[in-house]
Amino acid sequence: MSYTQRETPILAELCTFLVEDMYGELAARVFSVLARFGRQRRVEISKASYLSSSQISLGLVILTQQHLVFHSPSTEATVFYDIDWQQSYALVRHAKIAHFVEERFNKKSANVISNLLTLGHTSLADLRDAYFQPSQQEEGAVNGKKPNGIKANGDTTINGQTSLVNGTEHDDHDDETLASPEELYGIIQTLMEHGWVIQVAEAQYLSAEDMHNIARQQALNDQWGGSVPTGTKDKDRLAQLIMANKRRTRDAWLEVPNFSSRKRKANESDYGSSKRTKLNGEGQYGSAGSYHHSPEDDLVIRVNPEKAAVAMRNEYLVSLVEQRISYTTARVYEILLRSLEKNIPRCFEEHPDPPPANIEDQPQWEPNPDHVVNTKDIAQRAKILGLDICNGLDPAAVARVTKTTSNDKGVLAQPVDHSSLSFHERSEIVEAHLRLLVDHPLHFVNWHARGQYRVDFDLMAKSLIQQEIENTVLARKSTVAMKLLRALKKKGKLDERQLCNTMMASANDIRGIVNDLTVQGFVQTQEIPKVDRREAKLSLHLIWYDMQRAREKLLHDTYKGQVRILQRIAFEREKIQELLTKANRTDVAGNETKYLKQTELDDLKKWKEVQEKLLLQLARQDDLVAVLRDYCGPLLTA
Amino acid sequence: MSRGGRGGARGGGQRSAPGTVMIAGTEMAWDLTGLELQKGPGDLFPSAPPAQAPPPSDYEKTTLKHYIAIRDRVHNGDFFTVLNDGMKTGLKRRAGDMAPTDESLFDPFVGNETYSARYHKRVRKVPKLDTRPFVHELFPPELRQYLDRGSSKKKRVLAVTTKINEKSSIQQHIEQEEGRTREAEARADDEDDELDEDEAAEDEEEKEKGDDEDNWSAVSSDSEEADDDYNAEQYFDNGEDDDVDDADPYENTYE
Repeated sequence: MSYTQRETPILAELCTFLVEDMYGELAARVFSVLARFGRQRRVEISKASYLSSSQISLGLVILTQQHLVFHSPSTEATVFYDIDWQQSYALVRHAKIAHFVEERFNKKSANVISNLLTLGHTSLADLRDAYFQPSQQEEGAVNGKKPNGIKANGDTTINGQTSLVNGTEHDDHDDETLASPEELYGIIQTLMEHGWVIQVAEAQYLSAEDMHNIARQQALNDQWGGSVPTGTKDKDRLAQLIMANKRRTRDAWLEVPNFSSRKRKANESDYGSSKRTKLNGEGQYGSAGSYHHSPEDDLVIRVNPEKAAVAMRNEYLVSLVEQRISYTTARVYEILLRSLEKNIPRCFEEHPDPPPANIEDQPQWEPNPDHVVNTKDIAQRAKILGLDICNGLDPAAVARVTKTTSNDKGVLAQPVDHSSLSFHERSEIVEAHLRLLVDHPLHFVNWHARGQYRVDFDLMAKSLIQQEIENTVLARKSTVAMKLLRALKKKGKLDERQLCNTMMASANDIRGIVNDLTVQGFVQTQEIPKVDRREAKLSLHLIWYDMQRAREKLLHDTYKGQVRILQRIAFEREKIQELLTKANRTDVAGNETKYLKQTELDDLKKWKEVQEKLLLQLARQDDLVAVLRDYCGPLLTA
Repeated sequence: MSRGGRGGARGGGQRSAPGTVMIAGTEMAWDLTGLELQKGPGDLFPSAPPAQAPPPSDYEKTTLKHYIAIRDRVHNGDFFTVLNDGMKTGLKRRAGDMAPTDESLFDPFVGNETYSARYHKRVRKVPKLDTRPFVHELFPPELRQYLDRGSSKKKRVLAVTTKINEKSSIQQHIEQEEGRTREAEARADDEDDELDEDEAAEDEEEKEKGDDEDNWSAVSSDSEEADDDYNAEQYFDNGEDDDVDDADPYENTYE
């Protein structure tokens, strides 16, 4: 079974709560049946549930539209449904995705992406019609949308001037409301190029097993004419081909179609300045009169569920650098990571080539060329952002670059103005920041070649997991417990005596801690009998630390914490339900101060605070889940 | 004896004060009369205040706003359903369990339907699928019939929002409320201008809200805000006021 598709009862509970919180009770009830019994047909769901068959179908429609369930290919006679755990859990991350997009691009893009999140998938034509309803173009004039277009179009020679007028008149309008279909297409193309939005294909609805079977059948048909090979070499080859097929299917979703109507240059800034595009768009919109249909209308799009983890990883690393090194270095690192982000569609390869049978053939670890950046590019970008890169460095390092040390008389020179630095000096200073990152024990970046640095995400991910586990142990227990964990990590399996020697502590001090950690699942124990009877005295008692197990235990605990938070939200809502119903009445909504008492308003305010506090905690725990689950695949242990 | 040997020279320098003894560099009282040892068992459940999470940063606040906005939008959309049938999961009841009846689900305190129930926000028991377009090919064949069901003559259009930072309804009226408190404070400051200011505030509110309320007097608003339903003199004012609401009472119902 696929690594990301493994579920635990607690995850099932968590996801059911999340679905209920977002899509209401019917969807959650159907979801809970699937979560309880796994892959099933509609009839079987019907049998296991108290809901009527049509209710179940409607529930399945919601779940399918939102990509929360898989279904087997429509070519087959019976349809099986199964839960997409990744996507169901990702409901927590909807807000984060919208926020990331707002931060990286602009508010309009965030608006488009949050609409896509709520809609599930949609065809581009439908989305365009929703934004710019064809029949309502005349009404648009009243809203003040149309005049923009007319003005900009009416006199193209004073385009600059009209844009100025637009800017001043419709300030609030401009950063959130889309002006034309062209602009919408522009935003979607940019989002697709950066991997935030992907195409939808039927294969996305295939569960891991279906996907595997199809990939396998395809490999068999291509190479062996449909018959199953028998030799060991052929079997290895088959396993490789299956993975290659899966990767190919998946990578096809990321392809950006050629947007015919787009005039935008490809090399325009990555960080979404949409001013120019918009003016172009308005001109065309006005001149065309009615919008002509473009070939990409049939394209069906959705939000890329894997991209959020990539952005979360970057944010997490930047915040770590900010804590450990300095603010400015963190900003430099942020620039570096964001420049890489476009090329990274996912955090780890879910379908890697299977490892070779014998150890000698194991390929050496190779750095990923996609994760390399040029110092000069960072320096350039830092200049655009107006970042004072001289901050946060050893003054001597800055002085060495700028050659402005104390003069002959020993008087210190004036501080360096970062805006007056030459390009070369700038790169050198950025390099000084990068050296700080290289020297850090976590190796935030690594030297790659002259003037080039590389980020080894997968090596770092393990340290991050280890660090989170240590943090947890430190918070729950003591420094000794953390020391024990580190000692075991370094030394491997130890018996009590060796452990005492390693820790330089007496057995009495350690025993209690070992017991606690074992019970909590961070440390494993093993008993090896020396004789053929199983007797405590005559067996070896080994203690060791397995990062993968500790990681899964902590992940499990975190899920549990999230379930508690959602239960608490439900409970708090239940307490105030009556008042909420009243506040949502059609006559009261909007006139709360008129119809509600002071005490009721106070209660509402309190409820809002409580809810925000709990949701905040939910989001923070989600950060932990991302570190533990999403940044690297399963860690193999010997 | 112990003063000799290695530590002798230093120990000699730190002569302890009378009545005390130096143990490992710490001064301890030689005389232990004042010392109280706890003899009984400790508290079974000593009070341990829960750890408080740090307050949200600005970044997290924005994320929260997005979360609530997205969720509110889904809740107001066509997919959100409330069954309210007293069940926890979608699984079948066990053999012995009775199905919850209407009587058992009825809340005698608030469940009795009153006139104002016509204002209640309608909740859906089944999702409304005939308003938005679907991409039929992506659904399994057995579900496709449900996508077209109940299709009306109207063109199907996706519901999108054009603003992302819509405030949630609660947020909105809490802000209104805060504004009102400020006004009330200002009013308390100068009692003389009470009426004028009230009217001014009213005007502002009306501008914000648009035209759903046109004629309601400052006097009656006071009486309602002050929550004195038993004020006999204003008994009839209130009645008139309620009729003013000319919004369509059936706007949230099914056609």
